[in-house]
Amino acid sequence: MTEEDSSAKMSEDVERYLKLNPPCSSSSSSSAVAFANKSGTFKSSSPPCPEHVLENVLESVLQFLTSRCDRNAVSLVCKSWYRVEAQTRFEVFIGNCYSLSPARLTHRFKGLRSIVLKGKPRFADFNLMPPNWGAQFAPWVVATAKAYPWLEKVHLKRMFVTDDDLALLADSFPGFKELTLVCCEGFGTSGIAVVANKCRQLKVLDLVESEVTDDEVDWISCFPEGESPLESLSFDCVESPINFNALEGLVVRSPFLKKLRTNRFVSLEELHRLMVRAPQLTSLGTGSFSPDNAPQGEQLPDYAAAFLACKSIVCLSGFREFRPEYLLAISPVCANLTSLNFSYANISPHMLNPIIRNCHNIRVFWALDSIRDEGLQAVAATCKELRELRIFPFDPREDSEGPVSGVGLQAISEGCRKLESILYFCQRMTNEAVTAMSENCPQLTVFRLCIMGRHRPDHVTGKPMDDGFGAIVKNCKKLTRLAVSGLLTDEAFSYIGEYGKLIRTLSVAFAGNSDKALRYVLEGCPKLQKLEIRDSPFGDAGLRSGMHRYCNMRFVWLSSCVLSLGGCRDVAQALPNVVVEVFGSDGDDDDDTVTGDYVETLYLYRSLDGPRKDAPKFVTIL
Amino acid sequence: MGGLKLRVPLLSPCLFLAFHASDNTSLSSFNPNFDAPLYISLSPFLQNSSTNSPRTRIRRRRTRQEEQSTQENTQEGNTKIDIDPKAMAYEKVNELNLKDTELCLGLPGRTEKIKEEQEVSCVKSNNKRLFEETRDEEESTPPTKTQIVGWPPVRSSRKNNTSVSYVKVSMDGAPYLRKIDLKTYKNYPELLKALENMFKVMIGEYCEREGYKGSGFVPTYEDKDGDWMLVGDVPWDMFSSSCKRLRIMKGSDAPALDSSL
Repeated sequence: MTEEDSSAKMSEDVERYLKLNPPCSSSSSSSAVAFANKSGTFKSSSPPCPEHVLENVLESVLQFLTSRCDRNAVSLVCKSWYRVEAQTRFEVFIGNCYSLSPARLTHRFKGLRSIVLKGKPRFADFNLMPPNWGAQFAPWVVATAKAYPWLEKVHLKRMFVTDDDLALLADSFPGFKELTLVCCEGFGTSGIAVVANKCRQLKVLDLVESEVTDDEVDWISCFPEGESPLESLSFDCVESPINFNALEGLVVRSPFLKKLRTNRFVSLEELHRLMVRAPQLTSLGTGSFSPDNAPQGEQLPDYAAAFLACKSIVCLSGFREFRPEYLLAISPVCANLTSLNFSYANISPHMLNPIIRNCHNIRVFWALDSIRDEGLQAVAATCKELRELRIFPFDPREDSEGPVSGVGLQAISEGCRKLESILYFCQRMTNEAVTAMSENCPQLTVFRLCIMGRHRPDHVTGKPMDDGFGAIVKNCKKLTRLAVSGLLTDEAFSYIGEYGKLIRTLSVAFAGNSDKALRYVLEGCPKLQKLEIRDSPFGDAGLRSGMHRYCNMRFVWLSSCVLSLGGCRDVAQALPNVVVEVFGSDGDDDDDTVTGDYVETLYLYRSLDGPRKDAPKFVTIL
Repeated sequence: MGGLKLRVPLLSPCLFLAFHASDNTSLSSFNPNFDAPLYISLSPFLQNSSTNSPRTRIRRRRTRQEEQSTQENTQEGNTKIDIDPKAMAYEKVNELNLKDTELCLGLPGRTEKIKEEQEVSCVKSNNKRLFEETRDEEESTPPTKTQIVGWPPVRSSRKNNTSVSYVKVSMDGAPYLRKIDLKTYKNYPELLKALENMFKVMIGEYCEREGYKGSGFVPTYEDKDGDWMLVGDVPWDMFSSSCKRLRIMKGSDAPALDSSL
């Protein structure tokens, strides 16, 4: 159920209650008293005021409301409802850590159990943001350590987390259960060791695409002895060796372990041992998928038998240094797989074929473009249940060979009609293929096409890619996320503005001709929340055209465009609730780097608590 | 030593870019079929207009991983000296002062600090190769494309893992180079065997003190810092991540190993 659906109508429970007990009718007081008598929630002898009774009842009802959009709507009804909602909210999602201060969070919500916190904008992943920009977890862990002793879950994305932060977390929350760090950095194996050791109820420790420094600490050995409540352990991004015997011991004493994602320092022999110990696994990250030693003949472990024994595996990933001769060992689980991630493995179509042929139930498939159009055709032929496809470039350069193209894209669109989400890197594309996808896959909510050659037109017709993307926004009526590329004129953006009514996230690079393009989008897309643009000819006029929107958006990023300081200042002055940051590409300048009028990067976001106090010197807040 | 000598003059691509970039009309007037990076301004050459021409950033940033590996190298007592890219970048090559043609960001006339930066992983700029002294004359490649920061938008963790590890292998006396993927070998014996098969020679066994004695062929490699090393001295993992190219020298040409080393 999308956020839009759930916010469009209140939860049925609440509506039903309101019908039965309208707040203003006189009859409600007697029924309210009767109810209160039953529940025994009032202490004084005089009948309690309806408001308090209502709050108590509302509390009971709101416990069933989990969607944050519903909860946000509830909190806007009146002060009383705001209070009750705040008391009963256990999970909070903060899409931009700078949109409010930790103090505001702890002031409003008193009983949080779970926090999701996101920091840097996505373009930071591609070296477009200088280091030490911010998004530190420290102030949040300090504030929540005091306010929420019963915190159980922390999920961070693109935050800067230190070992000290992790230590404080481990010390402050006795019931802590789940730690997930996605695209984070700033910590090392010593921080992980403290968490492993002190969080005795830890069920989930997931490190995903994070940079983890090797402090040469044997963190796996730091898990306490005895039966472990671990259900999920992911460390495939940790680029340092681990103590395998300790890992094996941990797996043996983790009867609830369902998800295990090992890193590339776990060999095939070791993986085999783990699988034998944990046949109940549902999700397995296979590590290197490469044997330590050259095969010794008779001593070869039966890898296929191990996979056969793990009947519950539905999700496979890893294959970080895989050896093709062992790939077929995964065959016994192919028919059950719903998710397969080959995106770190240089797999040819020839290698893919015997595997994918059996993967009828796959819903999520990630791979490198080494599988070529041929491989995509094989996927299209078999994977009728495919919902999400991601094709990454094996050779991520502008002028590399380009083994996948519109041929593969079109094949997928024809074979996988239920497709909802696609990320596709290629060297060249045609409008025809993109249009075909728009027509064949009406369920698409995410369409991200990256034509790696900048400004590349349709390689067959020589025309811009406007029509293809236009077809996508026009035909895919559920589209919420779009990333465009190739040669695009303002016309493409007029289509986006005209048809992209549900788009929440838009990524633009090296596209458009003029400010008109930016205006089309800012005026036409009412649901737009996240706008990230680089290297496009958009200037102050375009920026100004979105003034009416910025308070309702999570952020706007514009880098290497043609903005001037004056134009950015205008926005900052007109919108006091929006923080406007400008900075250059290099974080090495110690003093104010805004020399001259040119703005390298603009990052603006709404904030309830004004400009942040931790901005580094190279960031200027206008 | 035979081999193709490729020297593509530096001049023409730069002039071409200068010619195009001086045109301040809207971007759509550029020929979309031309593959060169059209929207980079050559700041020392031109008066940049402030309208409608984004300044594409071509700074390359040293990632944390790069920083770490440099630190690790020095910690392990690696006595190789880092070649300072600054020193190389502005040599004169082909009578052209390369500073004039350096692509940089920002408005003209702004004095840029020269930063020490390396593009992460396989996407190394061709420029550096030109500036260094190349022993092997087959190796001159023109700077056709400078790498743009953060493009294509692939996270560095993905780039590192899937980087192409093909290295060129030359052998003295052989008419053409070969290419091998270092990742397909797990250790030195496998690699040496493959080389022996490929070139139909006997290289023999590595010996710590004396290298490859008696075989007549000595496998050497150029590492990240541009130094030529003997294959087999360092652990395999270190070798495979730092080896940029291989050269099998004929025994008579290979300089004798100094016993003091």
